[in-house]
Amino acid sequence: MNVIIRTGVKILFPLILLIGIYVIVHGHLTPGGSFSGGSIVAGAFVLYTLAYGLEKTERELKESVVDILKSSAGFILIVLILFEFLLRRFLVPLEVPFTLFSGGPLIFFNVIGGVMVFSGLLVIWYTIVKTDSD
Amino acid sequence: MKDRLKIATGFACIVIFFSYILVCISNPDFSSFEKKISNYYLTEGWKSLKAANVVTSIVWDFRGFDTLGEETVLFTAAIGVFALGFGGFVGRRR
Repeated sequence: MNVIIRTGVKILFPLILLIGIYVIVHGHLTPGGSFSGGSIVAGAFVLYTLAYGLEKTERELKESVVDILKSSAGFILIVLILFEFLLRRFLVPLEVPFTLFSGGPLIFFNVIGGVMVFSGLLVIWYTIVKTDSD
Repeated sequence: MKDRLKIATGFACIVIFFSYILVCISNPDFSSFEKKISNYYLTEGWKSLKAANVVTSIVWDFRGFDTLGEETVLFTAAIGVFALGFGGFVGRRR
């Protein structure tokens, strides 16, 4: 891609990552959550791939790493949902409502679910790009 | 035989259409159950988790397994695309 798109992506990429992580982490306070935040983070990497090509993106974040991230996030999510009632009983009395550390185990759910959505979408994107470039 | 099938299908369509209109005219109260369940969600969701975003507390607390299923759908989609992209070509190309 040409220099205009590269410079724009260089400026926009950290901001999009920041917005995505904000949406994920504040999922129990503001609208949004794991699905929308994970999609935003994955969209940042898609934009980076479109501007800089697959090799440079894979230098930042390898596909094997994304694969491991996705599988481990799924496993942790299953364990967390099975023991959700225990976490709720321990965490909710300690916390103050309307702050970042409220909502009991919701913040863990949002972060792990966001990682899972992000890595799942990114695995799909990497696979499509790699099979297309063959 | 085909004409009979056509007549039967048309008759069924007419019956379903008019029964739908009858239901709409008679205006049954579907909302009582909905009111009860949404009031329960709003009050108990706030009591149990004290999260400001009640939608997230419902999605991950009351419907945790449902959301786990949604994540599993995404996981399965990724595995399916991966298998479509690489699965058939591993032996031949790489």
